[in-house]
Amino acid sequence: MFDLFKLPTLLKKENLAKAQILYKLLAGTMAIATILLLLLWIALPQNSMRWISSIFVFDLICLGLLFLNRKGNTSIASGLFISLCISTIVFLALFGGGIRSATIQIIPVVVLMAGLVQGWKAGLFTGLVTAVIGLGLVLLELWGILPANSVVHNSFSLWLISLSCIALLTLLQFYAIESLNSAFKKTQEELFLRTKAEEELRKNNVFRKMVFESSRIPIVVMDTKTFQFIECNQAAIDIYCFSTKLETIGKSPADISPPLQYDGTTSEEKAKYYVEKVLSQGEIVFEWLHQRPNGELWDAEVHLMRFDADNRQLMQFTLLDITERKKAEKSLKESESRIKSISNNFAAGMIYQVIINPDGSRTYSYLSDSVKKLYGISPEEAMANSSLIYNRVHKEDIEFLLKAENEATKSFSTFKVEARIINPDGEIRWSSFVSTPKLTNEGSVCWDGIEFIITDSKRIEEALKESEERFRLLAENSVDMISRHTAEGIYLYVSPACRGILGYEPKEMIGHSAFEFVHPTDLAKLEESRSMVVEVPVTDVVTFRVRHKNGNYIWFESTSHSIKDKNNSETIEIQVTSRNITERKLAEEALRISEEKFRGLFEKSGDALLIIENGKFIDCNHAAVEMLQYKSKEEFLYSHPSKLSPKMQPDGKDSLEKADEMMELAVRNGTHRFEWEHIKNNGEIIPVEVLLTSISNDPTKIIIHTVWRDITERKYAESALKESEEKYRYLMQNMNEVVMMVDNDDRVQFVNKKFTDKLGYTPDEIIGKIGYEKLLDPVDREIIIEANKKRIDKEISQYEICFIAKNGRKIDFLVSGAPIIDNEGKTLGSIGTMTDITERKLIESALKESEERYRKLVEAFPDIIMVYDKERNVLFANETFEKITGISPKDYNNANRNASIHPNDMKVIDSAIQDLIDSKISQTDLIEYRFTDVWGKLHWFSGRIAKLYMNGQIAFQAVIRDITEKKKIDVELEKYRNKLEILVKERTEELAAANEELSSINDELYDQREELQTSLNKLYETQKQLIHSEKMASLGILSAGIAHEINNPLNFIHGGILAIENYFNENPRENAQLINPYINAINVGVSRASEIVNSLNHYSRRDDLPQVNCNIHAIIDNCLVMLRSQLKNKVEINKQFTEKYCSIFGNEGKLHQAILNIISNAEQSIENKGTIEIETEVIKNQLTLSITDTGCGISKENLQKIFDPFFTSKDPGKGTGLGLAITYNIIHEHLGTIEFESQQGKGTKAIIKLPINKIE
Amino acid sequence: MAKDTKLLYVDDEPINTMIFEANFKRNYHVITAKSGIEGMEKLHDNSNILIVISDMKMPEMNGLQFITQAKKYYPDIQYFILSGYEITEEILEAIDNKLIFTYFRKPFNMKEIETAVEDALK
Repeated sequence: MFDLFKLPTLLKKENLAKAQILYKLLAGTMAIATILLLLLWIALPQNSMRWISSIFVFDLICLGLLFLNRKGNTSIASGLFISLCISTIVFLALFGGGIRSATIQIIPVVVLMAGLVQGWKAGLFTGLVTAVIGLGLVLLELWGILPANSVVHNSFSLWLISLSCIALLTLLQFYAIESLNSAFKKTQEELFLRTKAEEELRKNNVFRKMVFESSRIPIVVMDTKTFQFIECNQAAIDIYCFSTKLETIGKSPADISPPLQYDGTTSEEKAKYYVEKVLSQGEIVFEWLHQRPNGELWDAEVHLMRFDADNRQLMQFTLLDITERKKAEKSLKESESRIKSISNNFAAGMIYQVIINPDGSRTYSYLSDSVKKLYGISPEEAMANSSLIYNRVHKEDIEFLLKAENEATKSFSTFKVEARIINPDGEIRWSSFVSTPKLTNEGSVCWDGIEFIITDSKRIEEALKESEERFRLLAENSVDMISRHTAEGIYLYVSPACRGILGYEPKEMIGHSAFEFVHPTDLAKLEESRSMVVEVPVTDVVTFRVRHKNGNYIWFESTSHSIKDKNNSETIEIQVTSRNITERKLAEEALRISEEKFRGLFEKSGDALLIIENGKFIDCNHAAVEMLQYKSKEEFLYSHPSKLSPKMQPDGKDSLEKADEMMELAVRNGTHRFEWEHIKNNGEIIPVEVLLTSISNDPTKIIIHTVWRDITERKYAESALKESEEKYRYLMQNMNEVVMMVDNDDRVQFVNKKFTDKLGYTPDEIIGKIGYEKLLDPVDREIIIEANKKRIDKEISQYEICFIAKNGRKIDFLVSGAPIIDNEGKTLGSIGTMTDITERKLIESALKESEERYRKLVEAFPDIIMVYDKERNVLFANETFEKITGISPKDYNNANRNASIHPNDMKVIDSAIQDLIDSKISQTDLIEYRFTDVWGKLHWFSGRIAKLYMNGQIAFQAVIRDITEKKKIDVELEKYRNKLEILVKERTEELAAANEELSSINDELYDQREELQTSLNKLYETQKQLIHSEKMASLGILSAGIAHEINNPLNFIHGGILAIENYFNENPRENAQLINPYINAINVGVSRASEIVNSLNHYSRRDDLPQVNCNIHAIIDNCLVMLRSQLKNKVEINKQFTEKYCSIFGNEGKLHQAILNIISNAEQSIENKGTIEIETEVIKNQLTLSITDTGCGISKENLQKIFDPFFTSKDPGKGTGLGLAITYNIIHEHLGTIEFESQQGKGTKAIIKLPINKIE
Repeated sequence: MAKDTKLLYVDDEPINTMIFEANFKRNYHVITAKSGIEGMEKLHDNSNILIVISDMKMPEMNGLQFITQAKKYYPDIQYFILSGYEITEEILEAIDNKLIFTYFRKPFNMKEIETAVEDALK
């Protein structure tokens, strides 16, 4: 039975409490039920079998529940128990005999419950209370207060039993609960402790494991004895490059290391050494060389420590990969040693570090070994005393060096100094010092410097400078222009030769592009050359024109080449030598032109011209082609002359042979002329005269200039001549006259038959002999020589001469000699026709005597007596003739003699002679004419000419008197007369001209005066207008200012009164109504004033403002406002405005002015009272504004003048007279018209018409 | 017409500013300035000024110069000119260029100004 009281161990903790309570309840209930069973069985054995059995059943159920609870089904058990309790209560209530007894019966249950739940003390208390209640109830029933119940005794007894039961129960309860509680508590504590311990253990293990496993520091545990790894974490596996832990465990240090360590000992030995060390020291740190399975070596810092576990001596170590650090260390070491070696082996200089001491002195903290070489001292010595170095700097440079260093020190900038240093051997070298001072960690200033020996480069620099200087001198003094350019062509340098060649100063060109100076057409050429020179390393020559400063272009021949950078082969500059070749160019040009000219001559020449080179025609002109009748020269060029010739020449020679012969002759003699036969294209033979001229001395290139002249005509003429000669010979031979031909030396060439007959010589005896030697008396020789001479001059002459015949007889001949002239006009000789005049001679001598007499008479005559023929050949003249005219007898027949009749008088003579010839008259009247003598002197002749016959020919005899002197006087007189006449005429003309001029000047003056008057008037007018408009303009500006100034105070008043009004509206006063009229008055005043100002503003719109659309009605209203004061109480205004659109495009101010003027005039015309009607009307885009007044009107004569400026009908000083003139101008400016209609005394109507602006 | 609408009125005549404020304070929160420079200061000191009305003729800076300057910083404000002068080319141009909303002439017409301001604030 007591097993039931033992709690099941398998119960879950949360169910445990429940189970306990249920257990207590069930136990208690069972106990009560069992006691009740016993009591009922004792007290009421006779009639309570029902109850007993019920209670027994109840007990059984409870026992079952207890069992169920112990099995762990606490919830089911508790549920069933509650159902059991309820059903019991219901059962009791139904069968127990009333509520009271039921209540009593419930008491133990309540007590039990309370006891169980709240502890036994509560149970006791509740039991007592319920016992009192139960006792009370019983007593009440007994005393009859409550109705009697049969149950009383039962109840009472039952109550007693109950009470005792309670006591028992309570005790039982107390014992059970206490003992149970203590047992339970202990169990619970134990359970808790155990759970906690377990949890702790579990946690600890996991944590440790986790820390170990997840650590990124490789950790390995190693057995001290076996040297084997027995545990490791993932990091260790990773660092060893194993794949699993299994692989790692069991390995020994030797397995993860190369055979040898850093110091050369084997890894195994070294490991042993470290293990022993750690065993004695506890923990150590060392570096270890590892090797991965793939052979890769790596360094680690190993932290090894000893620890004891499981009674075993173990060791654990952590690893730190220091490969990178090792590597860096190594490279640092290497670089350090490298630098050290460089610095020590730095032959060209020295590396050093200097620290500036606070006092400014220097201390070397480092010097490379080369200091020994450069300064002859050891680095240590120099470090100890810096002056050993500084004192070696050249005296002249030390100050400069220190200054540069100090300056760089101050600003921490870089200094670069070149200074002279004295070598250990006393020589001077050039060194460059470069460095940048910096601040050290200690705060002092130091620098790492390099001394670099630059003696060589310095020397090169000097040499370079020198050579540069030389080059410059060369360039400066060169006649050619030397220039240096950038790759783009910009002048970097230009030699002074540019002054002479181009007229520019070098500085005017430097910085400019060479292309700026080049002739536009040559730009492309030069650019091509430039890009070629830049791209290809060649020297290029280019010819182009460059502009001289004076604007002319100069021909340049420029030789340019580029200088390349040795490193990147980029063009550094272009060097150019330019030469002025203008002269050469001009010569070339001239040559070209001349060549062209000659070619033209060659081509155009009428003669056929050909050029033979080495025996072949190579060129010819058009005439040659034409001559040969080919179509073009190409058809026969490059052929031998013989190809263009018949096979044989007229002399029977072969053309080919003869042609070569001729050419050879030409080459030998320079030139050769001959006749040749060529053959035309059509086969016709053409004779030509050929002139060959050799024009080349080069034996390999024989050039012969060839001229062909067609001599077909000449040939023909020659043969004709031959024929005619034959004919003439025959003729002469048989002539009746003696004919004889001589050459220029009078050698006889030919005599005819008559000659031989007359003179007895046979032709053979006389031909070839000198004529005058054989045939003449030596006395007459001179005559014949003279005659022959004349004939050489182609003169035909006739003379008488005495020949001596073979038999000695003298025969007088009249010889007519004519020259023989060949084709070229050369006199070859003369031919004489001779007539025998021996008989006539005899008669002549008789005549001579008588003639002599007359002659003397005539010769002595003071006037000229002369006879001449129709050809004006003087046949005879007396001595006076020669005296006066200077014409000697030898010039009698010379038509070209100097002396002649004045051309102007020729006509008179000619007509007179003609009259004589025509036999109209036999003798002329006295004719006066002028005559110029051989000395050029002019004579006046007066004479008569008479006709006479001489030898059957008409001849004229003139008797002439020189009247020059007389004439001179006459002429003089005439001249005077003429002069006088001319003078008179001139004077008259002059006078007339002057007169005319005067009158025209007069007219002009008159016009000018008129003009001046008008312009003066105009000027006056304009001036007035100007003054007025100036006045108006200033009025405009003034009124705008005034408007502003008035508007501001108006604003005060308006705003102020508005504020007052508002104030009264917001704060009503009793007498507020009284103020309203005053406020209104102010408002009206302000608005009226504002309106006036506004109108004034519109009126004074500036004239120069742009044209705008103007509302004409608004303008009229504005004007009325402005004139309000004048109109008030005097004039009634009637307005009739059209409602049609009537906007005018114009100047608002001007329109105001115009309308104001008219209305003002209208107002002024009204004396007392009247009306002004203003009417607008629109007809066909035209606005008609009429202003009609009932004023005094305008008189008819004044009506015409009203627009005249300064016309006024007002009293002086009252009106300017400009108003309407201005109005008129304004209306016209707006393309409108204005006119007035007026009747004196009735009124005036002004009608203005203006175009309406269609565009709004 | 909100009483919290901030309006800046700039005029060199103190009477004008006083009277303007007296009349418009019932409708707007009126801030006044005696010059363009002070106007700029007032604009910087007061946030949410929606309307600026300025006199044209003022010393140092005229109304349009001030507005041009102010518009650079406060492009969203609506600007007006209230001037005793007749409308000028300069002002017409400013209206065309949307520099100012419109132009009022002195003496001011309250209704006209209120209507224009309400228009501008829409």
